[in-house]
Amino acid sequence: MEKKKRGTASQLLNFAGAYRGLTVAGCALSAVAMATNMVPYVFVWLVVRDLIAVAPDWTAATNIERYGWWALAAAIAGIVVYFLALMCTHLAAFRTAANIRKRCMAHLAKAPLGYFDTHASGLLRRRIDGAAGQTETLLAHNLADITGTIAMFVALLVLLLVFDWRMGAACLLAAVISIGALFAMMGGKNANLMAEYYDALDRASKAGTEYVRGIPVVKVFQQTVYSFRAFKAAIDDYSHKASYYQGKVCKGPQAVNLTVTEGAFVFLVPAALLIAPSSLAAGTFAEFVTDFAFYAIFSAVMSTALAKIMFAAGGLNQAGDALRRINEVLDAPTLPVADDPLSPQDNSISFEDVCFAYEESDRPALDHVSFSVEPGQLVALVGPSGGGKTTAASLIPQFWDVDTGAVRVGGVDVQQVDPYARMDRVAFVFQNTRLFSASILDNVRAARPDATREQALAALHAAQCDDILNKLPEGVDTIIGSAGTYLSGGEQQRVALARAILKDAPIVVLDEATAFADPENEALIQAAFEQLLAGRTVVMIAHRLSTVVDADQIVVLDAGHVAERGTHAELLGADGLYARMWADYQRSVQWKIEREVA
Amino acid sequence: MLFGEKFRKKYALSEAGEANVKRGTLWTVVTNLIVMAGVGLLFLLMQDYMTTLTEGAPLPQALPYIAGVVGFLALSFVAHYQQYHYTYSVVYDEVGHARTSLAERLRKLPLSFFAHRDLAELTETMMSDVDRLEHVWSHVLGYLYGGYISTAIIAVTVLIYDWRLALACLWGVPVAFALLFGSRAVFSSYAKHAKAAGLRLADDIQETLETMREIRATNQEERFLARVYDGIDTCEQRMIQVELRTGIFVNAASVIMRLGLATTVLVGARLILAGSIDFMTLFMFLLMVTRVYAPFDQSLALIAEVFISDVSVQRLNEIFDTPVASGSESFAPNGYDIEFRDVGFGYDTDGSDVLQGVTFTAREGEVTALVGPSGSGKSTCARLAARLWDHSAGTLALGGVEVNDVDPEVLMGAYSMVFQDVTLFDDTVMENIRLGRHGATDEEVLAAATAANCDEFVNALPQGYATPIGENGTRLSGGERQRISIARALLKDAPVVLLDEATASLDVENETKVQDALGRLLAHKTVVVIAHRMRTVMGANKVVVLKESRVVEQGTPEELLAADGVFARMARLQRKSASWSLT
Repeated sequence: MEKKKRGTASQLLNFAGAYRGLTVAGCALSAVAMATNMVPYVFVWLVVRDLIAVAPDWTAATNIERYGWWALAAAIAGIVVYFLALMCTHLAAFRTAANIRKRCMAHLAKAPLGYFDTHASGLLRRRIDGAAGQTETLLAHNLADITGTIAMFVALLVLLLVFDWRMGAACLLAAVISIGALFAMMGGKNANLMAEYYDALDRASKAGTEYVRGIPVVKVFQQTVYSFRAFKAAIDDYSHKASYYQGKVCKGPQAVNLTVTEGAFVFLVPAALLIAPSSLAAGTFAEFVTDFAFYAIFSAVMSTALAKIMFAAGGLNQAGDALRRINEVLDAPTLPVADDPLSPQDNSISFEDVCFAYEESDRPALDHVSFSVEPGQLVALVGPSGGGKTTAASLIPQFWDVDTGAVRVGGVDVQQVDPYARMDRVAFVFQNTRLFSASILDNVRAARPDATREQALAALHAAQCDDILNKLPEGVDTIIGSAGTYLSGGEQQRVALARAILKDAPIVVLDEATAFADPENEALIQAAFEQLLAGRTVVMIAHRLSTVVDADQIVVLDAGHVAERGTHAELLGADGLYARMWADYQRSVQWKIEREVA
Repeated sequence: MLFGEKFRKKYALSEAGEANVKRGTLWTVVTNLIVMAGVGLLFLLMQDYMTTLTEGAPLPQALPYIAGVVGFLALSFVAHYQQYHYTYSVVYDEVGHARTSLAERLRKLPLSFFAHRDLAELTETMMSDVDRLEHVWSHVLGYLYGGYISTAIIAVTVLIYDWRLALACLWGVPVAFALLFGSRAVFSSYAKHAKAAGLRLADDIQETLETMREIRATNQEERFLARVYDGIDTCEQRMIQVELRTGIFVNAASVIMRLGLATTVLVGARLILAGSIDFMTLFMFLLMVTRVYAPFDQSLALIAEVFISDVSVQRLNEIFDTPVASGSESFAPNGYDIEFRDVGFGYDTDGSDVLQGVTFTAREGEVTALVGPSGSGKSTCARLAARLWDHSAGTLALGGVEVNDVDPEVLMGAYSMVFQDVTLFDDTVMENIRLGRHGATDEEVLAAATAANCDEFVNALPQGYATPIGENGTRLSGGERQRISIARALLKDAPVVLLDEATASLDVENETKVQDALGRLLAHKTVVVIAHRMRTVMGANKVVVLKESRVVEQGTPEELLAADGVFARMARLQRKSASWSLT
């Protein structure tokens, strides 16, 4: 267990980069500092020895003042070294945390875009933050504490045994009893109790999460009292188990533990009583008294040392946690970049026997899907929800990589195309478009930073955004986002369309659901679509069949298969899935909320 | 003096908890004093050996000392037992009590409290905050205050004995505390600086992750990454600065006490050489100096914990200070008309009105449609009607009873809501639907589910209705979640139905099924529907048009079309959009 934890810590240290040496230095210095802290006690021994040698003529021990100064010097030296140690570890810790953050962000920047649909940004940010923070604490304090404590312990043992090992052993007796008490607490049948206690804690935690998360819904169904009872039951269970385990089972052993650690010195008394007569007889009584005085004073360190050790050990637990979080982020897949990127030959798109399944799904989202789009054509993807339309459209800008088969743009597999070139050639407008926290002007120019203001305004006009610009105080220079104004969903969509129009990419992939807004926005967005799509190669996910009546080709995807394809007229004539959908659609356009008349 | 209301508030303790802290403190003082008494044994023994050495007296009798050792161990054990009891053993009652009252409070808070929060973060903080406080209550408070008191007692005693050595011995304690508390003052301004940088970084990272699609689509990864890297570097710099300045203080506090031993030796040596004191006095102080600091070595780490726990306390107090939405538990409406009279509502953050002077009535048994551009206040009206939020002006009555006067949970009994966000639990489909009515039988649940057209997709699941949905049902599509929501509403069978145009984001097939299910839900009830589609409300009994927080038109659909106003225009636009196609 100790070894595994050490391994985790060193894995975390890998992120320290150039500063790794600093951490090691810091730990070493910490060890030196702790050992140095023992040095003043040596001078204490010397002072006592000199005084006893001249007892009772105390003023004759002239050297003792010098010893005093030495003790002070050693103490100060220990402090200075300790500061240096902490500085080293802190600098290294901060750098490591920074590196972790950078690594994670750089990695995520290469993840397929689909990854961000399934992993909420808040969750990712918390993981990165949590990992960096925990690592910081670990490297800044805990590691140095541990090496320091080990060094202290070694120095302690040396001092305990060097002057009179018998009295030293008496002091150590406290440690032995303490460990025994702790084992009694954790071993045997108590091990089960401890496990039960941690289990109950875990359950209370989970219950708490469910409770809070569910309150808004449960309140609506007036059942907060029940979910509350469930949570309360978990809390009570934990309280009882904790009270029993920590409160009752541990009380005796802990009381023993505390008694001997704080009272470690008391074992010196019987030891001294035993040794005194023989040393008196042997004529070494003065030495004996010196040693006794020393141990009486020094035994106090025993207590502090034991407490420190228990404290330091706890910190290592964090390491595993931190590493886990980092790996969760770094485990995100990355899109491979081709060594020798090729250029698409034209603006055609083709799907060749494409198969694709989402990570956690057992059934394929796309199953041997093939279709092609000639340059300048408009192809509509329709079908029931979950059928694969959005998935297929997402593969074109490489939100995900296909499992088998190929998606080609201009004859070239998208995986072979340079990602930047691909993004220049394909504009996509999906649901939930976001704008940057920047001015509208900058947002529109994001894809073409060198466009002029006039060009941007023209694009905004084409995207029917004039009303937005007119109602904002600074027009196109208004900053959007957390610092400034907010636009409604429909308005954001139109600005995103302006961006796409300005980008002037020859291929457009569009999810028509973006138009589902209030009637005012809807009409405007549709007008903006017309501007965007004129003269380009378009793949459109259609939800309302009226929009694709004039498409060059309609591909009907159902449960991942291409069920039918053809023009609107052809498909109606085929009297298959599409024909049924069309009939359904016509009906729903008529639908209104009706009530059954009694 | 030390304790009282302020103390309780500072540490979020109950009165019983405070009493325990008092006892924990007392027993800590007792244990510390007993330890010092034990040290006295060493002193006495040393004194005896001294007389043997210098005056040739015989060795002391063993028996009294052994008795002393045994007595000490026994007393110390009893005292530590009590101390542990009042610090650790009883803390779990306090913790359980804290968690329970927190949970109780949360469920009484108005739903608006939850609307703007990240629930995941709220839970996380709630759990870890209470954990941290558990630690403070068990470990810290008793030990800390007990340490203060016992050290004070010892300090007074030794000052009387020999003030010079006492000073040499104890000077470290007040200095350490001054440093520690002084560091807090220095700490705050630098820490604020660092914290600001930290928040900005978190925002940058969040934005980068959220807009990753747009960033990649516009080939701006480098620019955004550079910005984030900059923020990370700045944070690092600020942290180093904070550490350099405050770290010195905090660490100085812990090590300064170690100097105490050296100064005691030095001052003691000089005093002895000057003949002012004798060996036994020096010996006594040397015994003291190492032990007096022991409680404080730990304390400093504990004090740091107390500082940190401040934030936790504040968060918990915020929850307890938020006013609850309360009201009468008896609710006897006279029919189920919903009457808005001059209703107003605004968010307190920026003061602008989300609703102003809204007046209309949704009659029982009728369908009332709320239409208008997004942001005009339609959702707000629906939410106010169910008292999800409290309206701030005018009257809003259900069956003649002002809704703000009724306990929200009781009021909920009259409403079924089908909104766009559907919260599902990590439980089976059956249980998720049963939420609609506590104690409903399996048959009733299945009947509601079938009526809501759930059979088709549920039967395709591996275990049918017994299939667990998973956390928040991420595997279900929007349409499927919507139908579960409708099943819940059908099961509940409440007299008022609030419906947010649920069919907006669906494709054709689901739309028909959902619309079908809705039709069954709405018979004979007071229906208020937030509509986006003109065509869907043509069959409504009354249409209320909202624009910019006000009601601009209301009447039957025919009346409004004839009036050729806002509604008529919207209908024309919708017709155009509905038949839109690309040429």
